[in-house]
Amino acid sequence: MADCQLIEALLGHEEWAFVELVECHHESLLRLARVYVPTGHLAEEAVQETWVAVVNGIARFEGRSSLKTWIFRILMNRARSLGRHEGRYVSFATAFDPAHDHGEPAVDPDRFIREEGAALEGHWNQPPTSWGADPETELLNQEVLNVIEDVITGLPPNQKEVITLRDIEGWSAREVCNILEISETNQRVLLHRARSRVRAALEQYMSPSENRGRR
Amino acid sequence: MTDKKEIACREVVEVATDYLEGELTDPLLSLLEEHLPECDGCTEYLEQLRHTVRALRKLPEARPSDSANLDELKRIFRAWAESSRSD
Repeated sequence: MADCQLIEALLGHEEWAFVELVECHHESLLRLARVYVPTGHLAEEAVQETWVAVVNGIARFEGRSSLKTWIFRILMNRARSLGRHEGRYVSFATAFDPAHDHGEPAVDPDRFIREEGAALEGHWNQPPTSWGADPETELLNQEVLNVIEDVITGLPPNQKEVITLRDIEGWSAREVCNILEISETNQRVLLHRARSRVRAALEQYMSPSENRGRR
Repeated sequence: MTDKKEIACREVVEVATDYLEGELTDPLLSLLEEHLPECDGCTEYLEQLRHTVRALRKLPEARPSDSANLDELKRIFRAWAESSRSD
């Protein structure tokens, strides 16, 4: 349903419009809240506060962003504030500059041929090996999901935000840049770092004997 | 960059996300597309990255969050509707 219809219905105190918004976004809001706060309980608190702020603020919503972006911005502010209160979340909005990002490589440099001047310098020394005939099924087992969640929990907050919105929630790059107020380049660098860490952990799980202790 | 003849695997893994996002441009794009058919390692690497993204996308259905306490939220909505009607 179009934003303008939902807003009009909310302003007319029509409960179905509110229920539709909740059913559409509540679970995603909870998952995003967990980026900033340490417990499910606090995430629920942040989301509930968000819905209260949505109904209280809808009359002042000016439509300069989509309704979804506006709701998720409210959530991010609430959850960051709760997270700061819990000592969990450190502001980093201005801390990331890809021009000065010499972050970790996507893959352990030791896995490439390093002899300077060698014809194959920079090519695989230890290439990745296949994850088997049916990795899609294997990747859905509970143990693998634990591996993925552990990696995400340990990511720097800005990487965690981007991979949560892009890959877990399926947002477009444009939507993510918009809500996080970052450039497309920053968004891709952060996504790349985050995906690389998750892939590396999955590689260890899926081919443990060949790549133990490596990225 | 213009006289670069090939791309090394070490560089491929660093542009893999740009490539999968459709944001890689020439000359790197052409170099990568020439490289991939000849390199099993990089082909497998990209495949693993695709599997990784698909696994991440499946997390919400595999691990659903608690659904909303709709009764409580409706109560909040009704209280707001009531108070704004009386304003």
